[in-house]
Amino acid sequence: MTVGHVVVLAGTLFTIGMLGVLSRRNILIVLLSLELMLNSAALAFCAFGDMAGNLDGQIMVFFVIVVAAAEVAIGLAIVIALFRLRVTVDTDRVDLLKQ
Amino acid sequence: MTAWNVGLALPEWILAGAGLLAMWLDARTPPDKKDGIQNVAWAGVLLATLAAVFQGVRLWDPGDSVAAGGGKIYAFRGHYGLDAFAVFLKVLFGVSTLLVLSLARSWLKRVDRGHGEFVMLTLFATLGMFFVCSVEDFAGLFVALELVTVSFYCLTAFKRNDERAVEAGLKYVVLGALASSFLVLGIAFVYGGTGSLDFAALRSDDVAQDLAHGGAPLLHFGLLLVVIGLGFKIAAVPFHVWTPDVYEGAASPVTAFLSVGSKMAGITLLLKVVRACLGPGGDAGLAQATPWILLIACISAATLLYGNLGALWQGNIKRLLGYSSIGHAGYVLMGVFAFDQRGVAAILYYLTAYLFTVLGIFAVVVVVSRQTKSHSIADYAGLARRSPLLAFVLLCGLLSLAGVPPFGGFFGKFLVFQAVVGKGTPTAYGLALVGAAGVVISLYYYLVIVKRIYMEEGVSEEPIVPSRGMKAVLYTCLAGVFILGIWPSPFLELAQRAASALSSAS
Repeated sequence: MTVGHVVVLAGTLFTIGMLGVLSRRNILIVLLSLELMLNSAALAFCAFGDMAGNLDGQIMVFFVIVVAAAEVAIGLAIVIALFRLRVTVDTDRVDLLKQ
Repeated sequence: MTAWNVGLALPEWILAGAGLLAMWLDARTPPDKKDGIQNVAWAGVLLATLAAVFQGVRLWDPGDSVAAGGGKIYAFRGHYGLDAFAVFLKVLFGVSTLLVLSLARSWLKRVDRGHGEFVMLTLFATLGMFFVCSVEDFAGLFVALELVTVSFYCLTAFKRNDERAVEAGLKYVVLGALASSFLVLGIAFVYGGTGSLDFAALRSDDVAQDLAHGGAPLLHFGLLLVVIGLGFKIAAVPFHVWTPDVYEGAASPVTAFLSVGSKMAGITLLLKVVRACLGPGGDAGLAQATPWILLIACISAATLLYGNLGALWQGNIKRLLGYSSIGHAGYVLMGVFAFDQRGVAAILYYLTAYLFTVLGIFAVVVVVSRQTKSHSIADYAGLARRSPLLAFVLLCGLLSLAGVPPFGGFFGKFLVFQAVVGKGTPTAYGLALVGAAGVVISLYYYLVIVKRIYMEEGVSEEPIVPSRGMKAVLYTCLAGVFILGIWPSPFLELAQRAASALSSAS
């Protein structure tokens, strides 16, 4: 397995995540897809770190993990606040803000 | 480059300390005595801004050893850099946070809980903005930008019993995280292309050559994704979809902070990344990199047209300001297009004027909406009779946004157009024409509001009286807008010094 294989895998996971964000209507699945995108980027960092031969890429993975955790924690908190008000996790029904 | 030199980050230490102190005080004080926390935060931001000014005075002293050595000091073993450019923007961020905190004071009186959290999140967002000015590698860029963004997610959904605010927060989180993942993947590819996270690695002759002649596909792809991620932050078309909804749903002081602080943070990073890509020689690189310059020109033109045309049909003032802020991102991108010392100085001047103008307008929005309980533009009819001061600030603010002399916004636009036309290429002339069309369109929708305020009769004649703190914010912003329009030379000189620090940085 070469660096190229891992990067292709990361790209595939990133695309799957992006499609999930754009097409799924359940907010929880959207958050899961976002997590997949961020972690596929972390995978790409590992692969490129191997190619570059230094530790920068692997250190960056830690930053990505921390930031992804923060983002999802806040995302879930907002979903809970929304559920309390609207009793829904369907993105199509979150449509108060329009022209 | 190898020294730790931790004292250099004094403004950031002060902000972090103030944020933690606010957190501790919040846990210790009873609910009815939370005003003290706001004073602590105000003092913290003021101290941090003064510390940045003090550092700037030292940097600008020609007899100083630092100025002699290229004008840039490094700390944290080269991962943190301070030059005139960073200081200029830090002072802008500090001033805007001070104004936003003063703006929020009267608004927070109407909120029953969470005063400590609001102040704390504002401080941490400001900390992120200060770091943004000094980052020297992509890891720092990512963490600093996320510190700003994650704080803003919470601030947007701050009124958690308000369906609109929560909906705005949700949209911002989902689209913001999407943009962040593009940014991270982009950084990964840039790292794959150069083998290092440092901006300095981009700043080599090879990279400038690659960008001009189409080598290094990993690097190209990575930079494209980074531009997408940063484009989201500054609300450039086609990454702008969140802007009107989030601006409408978030509380007014948060929207004000978002439209000034968050946007300036994105622009700062964009300038730093573009500068790093131009090679050690300065501004020759981007002019040669034809696909990139075309890309920036296209994004800029699309942003100008979309923002200004979208604003035409808005009936909600915050939504209108959202579209108008998309349009202003277009003008700033015009400056990025003309990336030379003049272009960067123009952007910095533009941002200074924009800060005072937008915060003045939002101060009016906060005061008016408290009384009318509405953000509809129709409810601004007859404002001149209800409060001459508010009407006048809104008039000056809107004309400054449109770019009418003698207000600050005029000089910002003038300098940007001058820098673009100075390029002398057909693309530059085309972009300048689109920009001029944007100005004309924007003049229309700004003047419609002015007509409402001054010439129409409102439903109510009841006077609106701003509080003392609000008056202070209104007068400060008014003074800023006028001074930047009438007496631009000292500020322009500072902006030029900052711009030359960015272009000479090695």
